[in-house]
Amino acid sequence: MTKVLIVEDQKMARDNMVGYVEASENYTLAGTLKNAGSAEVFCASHPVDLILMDVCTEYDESGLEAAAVIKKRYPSIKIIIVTSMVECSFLDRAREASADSFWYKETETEELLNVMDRTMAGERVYPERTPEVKLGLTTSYHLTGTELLVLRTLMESGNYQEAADKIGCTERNIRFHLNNILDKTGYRNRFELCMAVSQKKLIIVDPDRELSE
Amino acid sequence: MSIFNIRKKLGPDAIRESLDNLPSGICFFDSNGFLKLCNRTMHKLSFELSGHDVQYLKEFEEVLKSPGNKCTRPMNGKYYFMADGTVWMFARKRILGAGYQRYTEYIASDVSELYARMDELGNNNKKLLEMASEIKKMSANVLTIAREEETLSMKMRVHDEMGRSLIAARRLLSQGVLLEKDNPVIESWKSTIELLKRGNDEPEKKDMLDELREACKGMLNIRLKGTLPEKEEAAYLIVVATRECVTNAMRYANATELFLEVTQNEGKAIAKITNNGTPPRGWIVEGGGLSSLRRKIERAGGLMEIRSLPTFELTVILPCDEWRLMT
Repeated sequence: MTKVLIVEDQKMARDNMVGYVEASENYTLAGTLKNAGSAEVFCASHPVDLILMDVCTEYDESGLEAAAVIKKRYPSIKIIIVTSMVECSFLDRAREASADSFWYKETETEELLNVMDRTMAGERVYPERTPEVKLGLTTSYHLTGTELLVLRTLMESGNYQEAADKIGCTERNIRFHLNNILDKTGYRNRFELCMAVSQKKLIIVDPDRELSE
Repeated sequence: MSIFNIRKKLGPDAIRESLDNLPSGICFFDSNGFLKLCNRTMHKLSFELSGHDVQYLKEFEEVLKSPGNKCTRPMNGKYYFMADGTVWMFARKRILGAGYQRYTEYIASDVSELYARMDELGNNNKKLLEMASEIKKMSANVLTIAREEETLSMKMRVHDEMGRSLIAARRLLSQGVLLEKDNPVIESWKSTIELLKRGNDEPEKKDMLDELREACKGMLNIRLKGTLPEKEEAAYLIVVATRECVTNAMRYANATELFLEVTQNEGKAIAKITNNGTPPRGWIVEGGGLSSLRRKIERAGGLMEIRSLPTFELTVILPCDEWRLMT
């Protein structure tokens, strides 16, 4: 039986996943945690075969960071990153953390067991793209990777020069990309744009995170 | 038109007239400091600055340094604010005239519009900074909001699922169908009721230290002396430090017990963490985990100290009041 650790701080979501694990003949519950930071300690002390790891856990501790550490120390443990947020960087960051699979909570719950089965069979199950998010006159699919990076950096920095310094380009480049995004979305200014992006959770600012292209 | 004719047409009066028609002020002082030429605009300005006709360079420069009551020059800056609401800037230049005569040229430029735009830009920038700060605050709340939306979405799904199950069961029963144990409707009801029951059966709320204790249960026991501070941030960081020590104690020292001693004194919490494992052989070099811990502690205004010999001890000092330990 595959021993499953569930790392999820939202009670109802956690209980739901526990329900599916306990109802399955192939899986047994190893434990539940609300905080991703404790997952490594749990894996050192208990047998775990599979982790269902939420991205944002208690005290904003990152499931992605925990996944990276666990995959390094315990490479045989499979990890499925689970989230309901459409934050555009999560898929790439999950891959960078060597997470085995990725699952969006908003999809049909039966798919979770399918993802778990396929992951334990050695498959890497990742959605092709993050869900499409409507942004004014356009959607997130029509913004380039560079545009998303510029937008994220502006939201983290608050001003053009700081954003330019973080990315390693000029202020003019930042303004150029921002103007392109405003043209595409139809928002009147950068603040309307940033408010919309924040509200739709397309970009969630994490000032502690190191930027990568 | 020949040069002879141009020279004939451009006499002193023509030059005077064209200078007087310039929107800027202009004047020239010779090498002895006497005023040689001054257009109407500059004449008007110098009168407003000084209250009288200015004829000498030294006098003119004194007036620019300390203008009269009809003009203000905030913080001895480069802008002169006149009584009529206009804003001016003065620029000096040394020039060489015919016969290598040296002159001092002063040009006064009306920068009223430019200044108004700069002022507007300054106000806009201030508003932008405020808005940027609001966006940062909002982003910090997004995670909290996202979690609550997720819970709400889950509850709505459960509610809808129960509703569908009820409708399906009622329809089947009204048709006289016997609902067998493995009927999908029964299965659906069962899982929904299990979910709700699980929610009600949840034991008393565990804090982060309790969760850490359970996480390392069977391998390492955490013994706490004292109490965690009431200030949430300080308590959280102490548990994070403990967690880091638990990981290292299990991995490197084969420890089975970890001792966390917390004292509080004069608005600060002091946590000392030791273990019963093998002492380090040499000085501990801070790897990723300890460096990350140090950054978190220092960002919170705290201090962290590691002692390697003769036994390992991690000390963390955190503020529990509003003031911070580090400048």
